[in-house]
Amino acid sequence: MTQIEFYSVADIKTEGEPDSPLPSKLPYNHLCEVIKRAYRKGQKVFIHTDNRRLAERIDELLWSNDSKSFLPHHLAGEDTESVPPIEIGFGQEPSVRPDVLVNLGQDVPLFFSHFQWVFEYAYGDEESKEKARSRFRFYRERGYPLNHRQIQS
Amino acid sequence: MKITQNQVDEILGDHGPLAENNPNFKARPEQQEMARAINKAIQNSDNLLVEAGTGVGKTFAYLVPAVLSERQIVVSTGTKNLQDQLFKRDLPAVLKMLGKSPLIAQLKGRNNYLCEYRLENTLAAGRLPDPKAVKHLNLVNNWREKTLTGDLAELSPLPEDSAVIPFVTSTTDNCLGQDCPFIEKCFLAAARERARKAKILVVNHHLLLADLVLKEDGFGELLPDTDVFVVDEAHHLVKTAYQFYGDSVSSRQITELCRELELEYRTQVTDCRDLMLDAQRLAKEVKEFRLALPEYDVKEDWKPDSKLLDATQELYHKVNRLFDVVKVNSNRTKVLESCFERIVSIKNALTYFLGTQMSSSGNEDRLLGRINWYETMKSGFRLHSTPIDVDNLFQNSRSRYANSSWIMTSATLSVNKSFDHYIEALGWGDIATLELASCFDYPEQSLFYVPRYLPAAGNRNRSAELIERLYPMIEKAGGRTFVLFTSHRALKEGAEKLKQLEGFNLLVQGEASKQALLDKFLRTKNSVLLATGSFWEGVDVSGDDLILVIIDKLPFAPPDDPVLNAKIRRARKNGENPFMSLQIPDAVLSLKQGVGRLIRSVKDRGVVCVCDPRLVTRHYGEIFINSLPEMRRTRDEQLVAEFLADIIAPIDVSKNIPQEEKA
Repeated sequence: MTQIEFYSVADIKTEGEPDSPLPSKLPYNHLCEVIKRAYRKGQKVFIHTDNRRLAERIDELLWSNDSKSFLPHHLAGEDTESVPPIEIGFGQEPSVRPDVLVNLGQDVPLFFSHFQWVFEYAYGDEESKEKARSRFRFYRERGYPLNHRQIQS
Repeated sequence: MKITQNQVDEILGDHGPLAENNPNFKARPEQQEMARAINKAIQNSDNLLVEAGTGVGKTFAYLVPAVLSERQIVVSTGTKNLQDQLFKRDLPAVLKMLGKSPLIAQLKGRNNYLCEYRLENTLAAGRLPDPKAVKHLNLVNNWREKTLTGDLAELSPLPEDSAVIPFVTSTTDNCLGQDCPFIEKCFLAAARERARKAKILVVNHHLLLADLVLKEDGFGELLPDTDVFVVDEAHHLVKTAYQFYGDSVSSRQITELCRELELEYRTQVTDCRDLMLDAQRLAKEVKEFRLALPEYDVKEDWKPDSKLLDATQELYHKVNRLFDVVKVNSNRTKVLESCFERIVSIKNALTYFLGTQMSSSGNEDRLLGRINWYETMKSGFRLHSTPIDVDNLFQNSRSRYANSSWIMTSATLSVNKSFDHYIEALGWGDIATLELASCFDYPEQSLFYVPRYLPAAGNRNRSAELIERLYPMIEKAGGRTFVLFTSHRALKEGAEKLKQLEGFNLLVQGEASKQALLDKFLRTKNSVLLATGSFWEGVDVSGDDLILVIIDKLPFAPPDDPVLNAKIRRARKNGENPFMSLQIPDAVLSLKQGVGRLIRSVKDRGVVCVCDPRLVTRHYGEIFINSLPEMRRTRDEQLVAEFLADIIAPIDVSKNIPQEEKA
C-alpha cells in the first residue's frame, strides 16, 4: 500500500510583527533532497504539478543544482527515446516506473496509488493550505499509512 | 641549466619581466603552477601531461622553463596557425624577455614550401585546373625571387586552398631528392638544414611523427638529439597518429602516376611504348574500379563481394604489369626512378585489399590489428588500411627519444577529471598529470543554456526548426553569434533557413576561407557565423564581438567512421560498454573545444546554448557537465534574454551617446 509522507511547511515569521507571519513557500531544498535521495537509491521519481510554470521552475531547480548531484530529468514528453529516472509532469500521466510521486498539484492525482511513496507539502496561502488539508483527509479516510511532519521552509 | 622553481615563479610573477613588458599582465597562480611542473619535468627528464583551461597562458608556461633550461627543444603544434604564432610571436617575445638568443627554426610539411622544379615544370607544360589557378601561378612566379624561406604562407594573396599549390610544391612521391637539378635552391632542404642546427625547433605533429619513424625520404634524420619535446594541442596527436600509421591508396594517386608516366614516354623514353600502353590501361582500370563501388559518397568497411574482389584483382593485375615495365626502365631517368618507388607503395597498399578474401574474420585482419575500409568521392575513391590502435606504434616510434622529457599539453585532454582516455590512446602508461582549471570566472561570466522542448533528434528539418526557434535569442544578442553544427548537412540546412529569415550579416563556412570569415565577423556588426568542423577549435574571438555560441547537438562521432566502428565492435567483444569507453569521451573533448570558443578573456561574457536535451535527461549528462568549465546552468529562456540584454546594454550605450556627453 502506498505510503504517504506529508510535510507541513511553517509560515515565515517576520521580525517586526511576530503575530502576522508571511505564507510559506515551497521548500525547494527539501524537495531537492527528497528527489536526490530517491534517485540515489535507484528509484524513479514523478513530480506532478498543475501548471507548466511550476513544472519549469522545478526543471530549472534540478538542472542548476550543484554539479556534485547531477539529476537526470525531463519535462514530460521531452525525451521520447528514453525516459529519464526523474520526470516532471504538468497534467500528464507518468511514464516512469512508479516508485516515488511528489505531488505539487492542488488535488490528489488519480494515479497516486500506483506509487510506493507519495510526498506532499502543505504550504502557501490559506487557500492552498485548505487544499492540502483536504488532500490529507483524502489519504487518511482511505486508510493509507501517513507520516506527518513539520518543516521550516 | 639548473633552474629553480622560484626563478620560474618570479618570471611569471607580478614583478617579473613579463609584467614589466606588458602593463595588463597579471600573475596567474595556474600559469605559475604549470610552469613549475614543466620545469621540474624538464630538469628531471620526466614526462608530463598538462591540461590547462582557457586563459591559463599555457604557451608562456612551457616556453619559459623550456628556454631557461637551455636544452635542445622541439615544440610541436597540431595546427599551422599555432605554429606560425609560436614562431613569429610568442617564442621571440619570450626570448627577448629572458634576454636569450638561441638559434630557433620552424619547419613545416613539404607541401608548404615552393618547389622550383615543380614550378618550372608547371610553367613549361602545366595543365592547370582553372583560370584562378593560372592567376595564382603568376603570383607564385613573381614571388619566387623575393622569398627567402619559400614558405607559401608568406604569400598572403595566395589562398590556403588554392588549386595551384599541388603544382608548385612537391610530394614525397614526386620529389627527386638529391638528384633534383634544383637541389641547390631547394627551400625544403634549406629549411631542414636550419632545423637541424636549431636549438629550439617548432614543428607540427605530422612532421614530429614522420621524423620519429624516419619515414621521410632522402633527407634523413631531422630532429637533432632532442632533450625536450613539448607537444602543444596534444589532443590532435592521436588523430595525426591514426593518419600517420595508416596506409592508403587513392584513385588520384594512381591516375596522377599514370599521367606522369605517359608524359615521360612522350618526352623522354619514346622507345618504350609499353610504358604508355600499360599506364593508359591502368588509368582506365581505375575508372572501372570506381564503378564497382557505390555511386554516392560513403565510408565503409572493406567487405567486398565477388564482383568487387574481381575488380580489385584486375586493378592489382594492371598495377603489377605497369610495375614490371617501370622496374626494368627505372634507372633510365630520374622521373622513372621516383615513379618506381611510388608504384611499389601503391602495390603494397593494394595487397591489404587482396589479402582480405583469405581472412576468415571478414574485413579485420586480427593478426595485424588493422581495419580495411574505403571512401568514395564523386569520381574517385580512397582505400585505407588503418591500425585499430596506435598506442604501441607511437611508443615504439618514440623509443629513440625515450630518455627525453615529453611534455604534452592542451586545453582538452581530460574527461570527467581523468586523463585515462588520452593516456590509453597513446600508450603513455604511468605518467604524471596536472589539471589546471580556467583562469576565467565562468560562473560569473557565462550561462550554459539547454533550451526546453527542442525538436527531436531524428526530425528531418531539425536544423531549420532550431534556427527558427532560436532566432529571437540571436536577435537579442544582436548577432555576435557562432552557430556550430555537428555535420555539413545540418550546417547547410541551418544556413538556408537563416538566409530566408534575413536580419543578420550571415557568414557561412565554405563561402570564404576561415580567416576571411573571421575577419568579416569582426568587422561587420550583427554577424552570425555558421560553421562546423575546424571552427570548433582554435578560433579566438574575444570581447563583445562574440557573446553567443550555439551548438546544434552533442558532438558524437558520425556513425559511418569505420575505424571507430571497429573499435566499438572490439570493445563489445571484450564485454566493455563502448558508448561509455569510446564515444562519450570523444564527444566530451569535442564539446569542451566548442564551448571554449565563448570566453577568451577575463572581461568576456556570454551564453553557450547546447541544443541537446540529452545533457539534462541522460545519466551521462553528468560526465559532460563535470568535464566542462563551471558555468551557471539554466534552461530558462527569460534568464538568457536578461543575461544577454545585460551584456548588450553597455555596448549599445557607448555607441549611442555622443562623445561629449560620454565625458
